Amino acid sequence: MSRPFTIYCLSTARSPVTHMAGTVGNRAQIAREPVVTELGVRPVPFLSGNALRSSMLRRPGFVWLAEACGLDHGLTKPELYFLLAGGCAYEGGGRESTQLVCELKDVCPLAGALGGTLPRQILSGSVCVDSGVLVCAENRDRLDTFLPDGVIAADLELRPADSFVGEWQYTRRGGEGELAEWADGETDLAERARRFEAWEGEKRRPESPEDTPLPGEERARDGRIKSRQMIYGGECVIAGAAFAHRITLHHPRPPEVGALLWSLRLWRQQGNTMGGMSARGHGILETVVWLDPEPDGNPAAEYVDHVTRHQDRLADWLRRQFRPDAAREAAGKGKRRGKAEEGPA
Amino acid sequence: MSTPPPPDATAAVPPLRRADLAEFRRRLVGLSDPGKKLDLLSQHSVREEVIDFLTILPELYQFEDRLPLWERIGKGVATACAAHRHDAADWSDTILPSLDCEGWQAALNERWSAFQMLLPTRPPEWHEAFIRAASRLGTVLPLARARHKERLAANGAAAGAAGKRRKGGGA
Repeated sequence: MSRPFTIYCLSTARSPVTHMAGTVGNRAQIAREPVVTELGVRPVPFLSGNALRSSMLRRPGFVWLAEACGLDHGLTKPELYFLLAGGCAYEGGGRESTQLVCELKDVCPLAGALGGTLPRQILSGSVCVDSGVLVCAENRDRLDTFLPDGVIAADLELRPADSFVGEWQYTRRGGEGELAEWADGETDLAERARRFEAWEGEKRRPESPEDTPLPGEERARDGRIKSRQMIYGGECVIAGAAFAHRITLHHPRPPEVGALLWSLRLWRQQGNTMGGMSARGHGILETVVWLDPEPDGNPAAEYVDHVTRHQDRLADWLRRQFRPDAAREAAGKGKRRGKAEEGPA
Repeated sequence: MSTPPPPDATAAVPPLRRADLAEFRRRLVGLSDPGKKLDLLSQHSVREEVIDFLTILPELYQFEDRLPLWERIGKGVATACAAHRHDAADWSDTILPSLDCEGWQAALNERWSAFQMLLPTRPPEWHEAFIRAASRLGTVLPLARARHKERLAANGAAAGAAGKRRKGGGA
């Protein structure tokens, strides 16, 4: 039995991480998991394995694969769903074809490792992506599992999880009412710009009872003109906190090892982000890895070469699984063409 | 003449950031701080103390309009958190103006006075943890409001029972 290939990761937050799970009022709450400590069960922030799997491996790996195989404009919705989200079974008569699994592992090592669901068959993958465990006092006893042996010193005292939780707050201008105000016959761009500048400098603007509220403002009950900006915010794991996580590939084959390492490189190239609010700069991680065992050669380059050599087979395989009629038609045309070519000879 | 090696198709994508054990350990150093570490139980109880403290503030509230009670409390606490991070006495003092409460009015409140007498006995790291816990208004303020309502209901029930007893005694 082959030894699993493990990628130990330590991801340090370089900006607030907002991996959210629900809201309280209009405040977003970060995802927490209950952890048994010697002082009782405590909720501790974490990164879900599902989110890590999607952000680190599936999405960067398959977006690149679709582009490399020239499929980025020719995929149907179920095919795209299979590649980017794992797919779902939507046809009856489920079946279990080992040949299909073998073929998939050969044609697309990344799909073989991550698994997925075809219209009539579930393909189990061989990679396990663990949750991101916050490096904190509550998780002290289980960090050894998620980090290489010898990293956690016996006398290491960590801060409590609570000290890594912070808050963020942003404002959003106005609402539907404001849009209506802006739209009301106001077509002069210069006038609109002038009013917008006045609105921006609302604090400098002297206020008098004769003043009329500008777009985005309203008169409060006490007669003062107030901004109608909407505040929204929530919790975050603060920059500088770290998560330990692990990717384990069972029964590793070189193309699958290469597919995982290549996807992680693509993730890094695309910003190494995780969780929500990345459009506002949240969720940037700096990840260092430890590979166990050290792979031979350059598996990522071998995987890229493998994809280049088999790109037509992937398109054909996808068509046979998701569009069997089109695949049969294409195969029939090929046969007829072959016979026609043979005929005159 | 030897043929040049084929160009590496993966060169355009940055390699993974590899680390040895020493690098892993170095990255964990910043996350440990034994000097400032509070035990987990204290962390939990600090939050409870913050919630208890916040239930004192409605008793100090002096504005006639009680509708924005929790809004003013929230703003006062947020202002205090921005101004003070190390001393809970200064921090609590900063909240009073937002409740329109003078120092002498606060001194008449027994719970406030008990809290102020407790502060000098607490270590500096407790003060920091207390203010940090109080700054998480989204978490502590709803809990404080719920606890305040419970206290009011309990006081109301007790007053009602006492009233009934008095009536019963008089009859």
